[in-house]
Amino acid sequence: MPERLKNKIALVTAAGQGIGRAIAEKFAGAGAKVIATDLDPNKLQGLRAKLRKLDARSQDDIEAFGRDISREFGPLDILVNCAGYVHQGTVLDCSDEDWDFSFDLNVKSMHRTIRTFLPGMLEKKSGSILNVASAVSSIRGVPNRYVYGATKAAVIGLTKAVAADFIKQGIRCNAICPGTIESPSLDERIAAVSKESGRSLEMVRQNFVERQPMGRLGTPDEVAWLAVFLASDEASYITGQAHLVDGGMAL
Amino acid sequence: MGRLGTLDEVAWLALFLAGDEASYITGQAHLVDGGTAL
Repeated sequence: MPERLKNKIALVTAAGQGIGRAIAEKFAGAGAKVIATDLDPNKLQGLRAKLRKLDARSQDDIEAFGRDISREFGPLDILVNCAGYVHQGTVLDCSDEDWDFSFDLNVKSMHRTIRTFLPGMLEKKSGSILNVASAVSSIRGVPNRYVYGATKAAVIGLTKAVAADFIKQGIRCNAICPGTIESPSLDERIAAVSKESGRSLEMVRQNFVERQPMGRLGTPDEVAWLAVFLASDEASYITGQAHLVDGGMAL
Repeated sequence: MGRLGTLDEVAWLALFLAGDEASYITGQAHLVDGGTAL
């Protein structure tokens, strides 16, 4: 099925590495015109896309970006909100600042981009919004993912609310809920846990793998294929759902 | 959505889940319901 996203204009945030990058690559391969953003623009090199530095925590930056994109591309067909941060720890490890940072980056950034790009989609009466949540959310609780799980549960709620509000206007909004995926972000978490616990990197990685019912981690490509499907017209009757790509972690 | 779904819309989901693209997806019930469950 080549060209499943032919001529669709797609924005992917946090496209510099991991899941976001895989989504941007697969979208381009499926024929989409991709706009790829990241806080660190150097990480975007090599993508077949329009590249731009974007701070998903900055209202001003997103508004200015929205104006630029509207001028150059017109309304988006696809918006993928991928920017996020994994805070490690329990409620007792989470300061007010930690809480606010996680909610600002993981949840409010999506609020900002959707408010910016939804009006164009409504004019076209067509659009697919994908929010990257997590299996660790309202679906599962796992140790030391206190505020992270809270933010990702909020993403699922936000997703369903947007889906319900605009369902009759051609807008679909879905959440993608990955399990544990091979990525630079996971490597950072493994390094952090290793440092805290004094266990070797290999041992910590092995623990992550053992938590997976399939006995392996997922790959960014496996998440990206789901994103291609949900973004495409193949999923035209699917909206407001939290879609797990978790190797059975939620079972 | 104000309309019924089509057989093709169900079939596209079946094709996706049956294929290797869905290699990390298992044990889930996937709705293709036009938002009925919202």
